[in-house]
Amino acid sequence: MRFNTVFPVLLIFLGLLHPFHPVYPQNKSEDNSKELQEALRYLQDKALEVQIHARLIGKDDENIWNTQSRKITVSGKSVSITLEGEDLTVKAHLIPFLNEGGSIFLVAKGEVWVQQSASQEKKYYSTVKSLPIKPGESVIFFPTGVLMDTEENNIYTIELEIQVEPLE
Amino acid sequence: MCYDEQIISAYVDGELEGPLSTEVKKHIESCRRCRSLAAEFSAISEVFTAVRSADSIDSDQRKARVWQGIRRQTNRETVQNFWHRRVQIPLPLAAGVVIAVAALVFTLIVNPFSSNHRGTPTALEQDKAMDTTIPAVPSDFTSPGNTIPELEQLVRFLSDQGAAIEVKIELPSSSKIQVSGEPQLLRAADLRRDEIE
Amino acid sequence: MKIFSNDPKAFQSVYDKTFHTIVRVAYHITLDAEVAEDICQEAFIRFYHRTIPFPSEDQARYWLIRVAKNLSFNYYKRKKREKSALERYSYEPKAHERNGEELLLRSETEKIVHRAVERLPHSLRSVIVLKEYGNLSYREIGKVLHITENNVKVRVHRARNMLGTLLKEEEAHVL
Repeated sequence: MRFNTVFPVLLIFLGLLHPFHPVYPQNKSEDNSKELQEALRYLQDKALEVQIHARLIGKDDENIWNTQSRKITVSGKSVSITLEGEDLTVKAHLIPFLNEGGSIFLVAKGEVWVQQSASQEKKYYSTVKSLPIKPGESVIFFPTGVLMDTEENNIYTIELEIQVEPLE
Repeated sequence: MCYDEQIISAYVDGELEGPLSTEVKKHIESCRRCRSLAAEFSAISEVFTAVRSADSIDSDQRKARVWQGIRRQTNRETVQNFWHRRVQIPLPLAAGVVIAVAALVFTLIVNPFSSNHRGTPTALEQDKAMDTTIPAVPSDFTSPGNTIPELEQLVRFLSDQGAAIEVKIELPSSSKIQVSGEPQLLRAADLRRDEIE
Repeated sequence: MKIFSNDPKAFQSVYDKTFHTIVRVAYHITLDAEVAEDICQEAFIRFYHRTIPFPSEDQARYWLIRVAKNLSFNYYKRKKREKSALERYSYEPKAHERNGEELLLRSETEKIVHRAVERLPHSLRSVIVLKEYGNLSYREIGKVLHITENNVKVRVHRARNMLGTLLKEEEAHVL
């Protein structure tokens, strides 16, 4: 079993079990632990680890800025990344689906709210893309499109490098 | 016949292939115009050579200093990542710890949904039991002897319940982001950033 | 052989082979030794953070040089905007002293050359800086700038033609 940090995951499991699991008399403790193990195994089978590396890329593929994050989710549950800029908000929703054979189908939805100038209204764009991927394979999501050639120097594009793996 | 000025310029830089370089050299020796051109290009290059040799920017001390700076910065990041490091725990041990902690909590807090709780909970115990961040669930989850199919329902419920897992990132201020059309989702292997020889 | 930038041996090797080029390029664009050091450090830290491996050590080097060049030009443009047009011709490059090192003295020639290069169009300036300060071959310049060797040859030639005129103008101005 591999975790990003131990304590929060223990809390999650504790929180999951606490309100549902009744207090049994002493002689049912063996059944309890058996069920708990099965529950853990079941959750473990469905759980996915999503690693996100967010970057700002400039001209000549220059890496201007980057940050990374790891989240644990379950098959079909979205991990949403919100990137807030001065005149721009970008939301990238990543929904991984774990298939029977162990392969993963990744759906990525990009939402952009952008205000080109103070006098203009805020514009909204939204697209959904999907791709079958292997566990651990790197995919790159460009929520604002790929950087086009430009004469200006301080123009950047957002790049999200994503890897999805079953939580072993 | 004279060579193109670009060829003369490339010759001055030593960028021509062997046979062509020899031919151009022979031509320059006999042609005043091309000789003058080569001399002009050489002179410009020599100005830069003089400037380059006069500076002491590329010193061992500077190289060592920059190296130390890089190490300091990357070591600082390693320490910050310490609390987010990956931890490997065997499954039976992890399960055992969860069971032990859960058992300790269950003996102290009475579950308000259970019909098997010991005695009437005090007001304080009831408040503690209600103080949970997990949303309330339908009553059919709480009967004793839950089987796997009901747990499947639980997992599905948790999957659908509530907002997505969120990550919020603030972009550096005054970044000009180019919105250049449709978003793209590509495999990293297909995205050839650097030309491969 | 793929290069993973967070592999200590690979990092050290690339650092040893590339430092002298990028510190030169950074210094001769910014004319500030301290800034050149900072740019070198920044370029290598970005290199360290890059998760996608490089196909070869050469590709890693080209990437670093590109980053350092862009950082240097960005810095210089920012500084230029802060100065008035009048100040430009009397701009004294910052002589730098640190921890008892010798003061870096700037010759008149260096100032003239710098101003002439600054007046070249950006596409020609990049090529000349990499060639004359970075001491790169046409092939290497092509790899850094993602252009063909022939294109590099054409740009070097054009830059030289322009520099011939610009250097004479700068000298005349100083005299």
